Amino acid sequence: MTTRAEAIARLSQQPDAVRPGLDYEVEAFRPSDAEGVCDLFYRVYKDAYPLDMYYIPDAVRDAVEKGALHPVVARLPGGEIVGFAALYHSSPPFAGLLEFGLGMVHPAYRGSLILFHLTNELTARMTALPSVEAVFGEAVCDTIITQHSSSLFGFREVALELELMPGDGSGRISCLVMFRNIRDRRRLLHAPAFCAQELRKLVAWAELDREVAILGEGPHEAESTRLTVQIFPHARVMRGNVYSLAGDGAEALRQAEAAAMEQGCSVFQWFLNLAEPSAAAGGALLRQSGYRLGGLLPRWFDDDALLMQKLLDAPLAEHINLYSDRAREILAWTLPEPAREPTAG
Amino acid sequence: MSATLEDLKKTFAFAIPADVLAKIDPAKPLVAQGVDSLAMTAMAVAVQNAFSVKISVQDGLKLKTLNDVLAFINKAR
Repeated sequence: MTTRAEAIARLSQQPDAVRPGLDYEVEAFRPSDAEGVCDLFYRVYKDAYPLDMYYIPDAVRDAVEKGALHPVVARLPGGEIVGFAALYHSSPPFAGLLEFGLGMVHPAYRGSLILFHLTNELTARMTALPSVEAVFGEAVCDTIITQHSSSLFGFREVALELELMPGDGSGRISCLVMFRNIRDRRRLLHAPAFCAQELRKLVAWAELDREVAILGEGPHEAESTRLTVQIFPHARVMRGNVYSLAGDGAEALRQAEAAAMEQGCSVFQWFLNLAEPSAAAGGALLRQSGYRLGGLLPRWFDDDALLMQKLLDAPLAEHINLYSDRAREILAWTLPEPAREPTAG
Repeated sequence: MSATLEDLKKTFAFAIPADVLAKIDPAKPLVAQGVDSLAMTAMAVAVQNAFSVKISVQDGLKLKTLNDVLAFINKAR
């Protein structure tokens, strides 16, 4: 198998075959597009894109064949690829929830409507793919344009991931999570009391059919603790999935966070499965450890997830641009409470 | 009723800062006036939604200026 370094070395030696001003077609990916897709990633990101796969044509073909990647491309008459967007499996454990993203356009075609047509094509295709039950996107908050466009394509704001991505010098970039349901059924959520009202609002905004049961912060322990953790070293983010929490849950969460901190993480996210009653106690536990509500991630586990997040550094709220009152309300929930004035006497 | 440049500019207000939008020459290509792919995407979605038109790939290839967009809308409606 080709390594990342070998693939990038090969791409860097190829002249850019793309000529500006030509007609293009927007279609589903074909296996023969893989070389052009990798070339496009290289033209847009040089060697900086964090995932190896997008520099290695066979890896792209393999991901598409396995159903983990559903791309659409903009193709010139000569076969060169000048635009790309995809639905893809990312962090959610549920294979039916795909992320909508990776939108990019060759530098010679910026200012064209390629990205618009790619988004249109992908939106039309996603409802027809039987394996896709729901879709989400992470709209960057250094501009409101993506958020606004996503809303016009039917996506609804459900969470705010503070300081998720490295920025370009003016601080890290937060992302508004925007969600669109395709096929679903009624579900029961076990909401911690401290955020039940917020979760009810998010359920209504995302037009979900849910029963929200409020659980107190007492013990609702599962038989065993089950969690998984992913570290994103480039972004310095820890992302953990909590399937269930037993009596040892608090210690397991603490140990995972400490290990992630040792690996350089500064942003910590836990996704708790709200179908499990122990999620309510888990949310309360995390809140006591300095975590704040991030929002609701519908269909994350197939069932919905509660996002709790903590940052080592205080978020720069003035850098977070949001397009709607709802998004701004979510921001208010996610920010740390202002330090309380000491009581006189 | 025909759409006007003012209608278009109102529709694009979320995608392009007001000071940039005010200076845009409707006869010059948008890309030459600092409008990038992201803004073009947002503008195209807004046009489809606000004016009930559909922009095909072939249509999109011809829409370079605000005047092009306006002519397209008024022809398609």
